[in-house]
Amino acid sequence: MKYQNAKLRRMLAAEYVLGTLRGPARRRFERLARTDAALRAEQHFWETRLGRLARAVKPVTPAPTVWLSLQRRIEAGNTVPLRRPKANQPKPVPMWRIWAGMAAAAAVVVVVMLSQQRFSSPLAPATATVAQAPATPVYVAQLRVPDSTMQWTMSLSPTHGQMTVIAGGNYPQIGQHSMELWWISPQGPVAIGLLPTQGQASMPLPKELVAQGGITLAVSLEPQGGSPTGKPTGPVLISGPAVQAA
Amino acid sequence: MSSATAEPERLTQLLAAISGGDQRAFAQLYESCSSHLFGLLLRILQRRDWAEEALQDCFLKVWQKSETYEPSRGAPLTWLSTIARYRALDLLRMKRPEVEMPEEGEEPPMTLADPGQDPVDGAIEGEGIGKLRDCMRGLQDEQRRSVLLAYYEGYTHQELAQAMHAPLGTVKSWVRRGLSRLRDCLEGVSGSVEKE
Repeated sequence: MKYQNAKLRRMLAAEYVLGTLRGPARRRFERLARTDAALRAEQHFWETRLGRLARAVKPVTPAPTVWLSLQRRIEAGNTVPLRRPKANQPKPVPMWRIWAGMAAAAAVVVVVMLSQQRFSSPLAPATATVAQAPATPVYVAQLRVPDSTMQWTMSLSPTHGQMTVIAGGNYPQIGQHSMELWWISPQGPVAIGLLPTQGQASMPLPKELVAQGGITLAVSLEPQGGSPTGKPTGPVLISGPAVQAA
Repeated sequence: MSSATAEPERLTQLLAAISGGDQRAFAQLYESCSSHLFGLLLRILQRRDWAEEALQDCFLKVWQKSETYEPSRGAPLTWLSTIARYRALDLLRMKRPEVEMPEEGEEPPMTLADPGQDPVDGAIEGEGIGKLRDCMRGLQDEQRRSVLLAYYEGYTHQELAQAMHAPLGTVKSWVRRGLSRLRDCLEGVSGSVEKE
C-alpha cells in the first residue's frame, strides 16, 4: 500500500498542507491522518512552518455584515442541542422572526394610530373620502438589518419635515461605528440622521425632500458620528420603501 | 503588522476563553484576526463573496472547536490561517468550475485583495518567518515559485503548469523537490517548533 512508504507519506502530508493534494486524495489523507499519529505529526510539522507564509499577505478588513451573519449562524447552531424538537413538533421560531413579527404588528399599530389621529382631527373634513389623498400624507417604513434582530419602524411626514423612528432588536456591535439613514432622491442619497440602536427618536426631514410616488430609504454603516463626506461611505446594510399610510 | 501577529499569548488566552463559550472573547478574536484571514482568503479565492463565506466557516469552526488548539499547532494566527486555507481549498474544489483559468500566454489573475503587491516575491522577506525564509532562499527559482504560488493562489498542479508555462510532470517535480529540500533544511534545526 502506498501509505506504507515513509518517503511518500511525508510528501503526501507536505502536499496536503500546501494544498496541491486535491479531490479524493485529499479526503483520503484526512481519513488516514485521523487515526495515524505519525502522519498527523508530519502534517503539523508543515502547518507550523508553511502557515507563517500567511503573514506576508496584506490584511483586508471584511464588511461588518460578515460578522452579523456569523453571529446569526452561531445563534442558530446553539439553539439546536438545547431544545431538540420531537418528530411532530414544529421547529422553534428563531428570535429574529419573533421580533420581525412583533415589529410588523407594531408597524400596523403605528399606521392605525396615525390614521385615527388623522380622522379624529377637527381639521379633517368630515366628508373626506378614503380614496382621496390626504393633504399631509404620512409614510411608514420598516427596515431590518439582515442576519440580525436590529430593526427600525419609521413614520415620515415630509410635509411637516418630521419623522419618528422606533428601534428594536439588538445590534451586535463590532468596532466603533454609526448607522446613518438616507433618503434616496432622484439626485442621490440625502442624509437624514443617525439611527438610534434602542428606544425612540424623532428627527427633522430636510424640507426639500418630496415624495414622488414613493420614498426609498437606506441605512449605511458609517464611522462613528456619521459620514464625514455627506454621502454614504460605508456598506449599505438595508434599503427599502416607505409606503403611504395616511 | 496588526496586533494579531504581535500578541500570540493574548490570542492563546482568547482561544482558551472561547472553548468555555465566552462570546466576548470570540468577538475580540474576530476583531484581531479577521482582516489577516480575510486578506489570505481573498488572495486564494479571488472573489469577495466566497472569501466572506470561507471566513465565516473558518470562525464557526473556531467557535465550535477552539479546544482543539494546542501550541504544538503553531502560533494561534498560524493555526487560524491553516483552518482558513483548508476551507478555501475545499470551496475552490466545489466552485472552481465557475472560475475561468487564464489562457495559455496570459498572466495569472491578479488578486482582488491587493493588485499592487505580489506576496510570492515579498513572502520570504516577511517578518517572523526566520528559518523558513532562509530555507526558501535555498530552493531553485522554479521550486520556490511553484511552492509559493500553490500556497498563496491555491493552485493545483494543473493550474501551476498553466501559470508557469511548463509541462505538468515538470511542475509536479518542482513542487515535490522543493518541498523535500525545504523539509531537509527546516529539519536542520532539530525539528523543534520555532519560537514566535
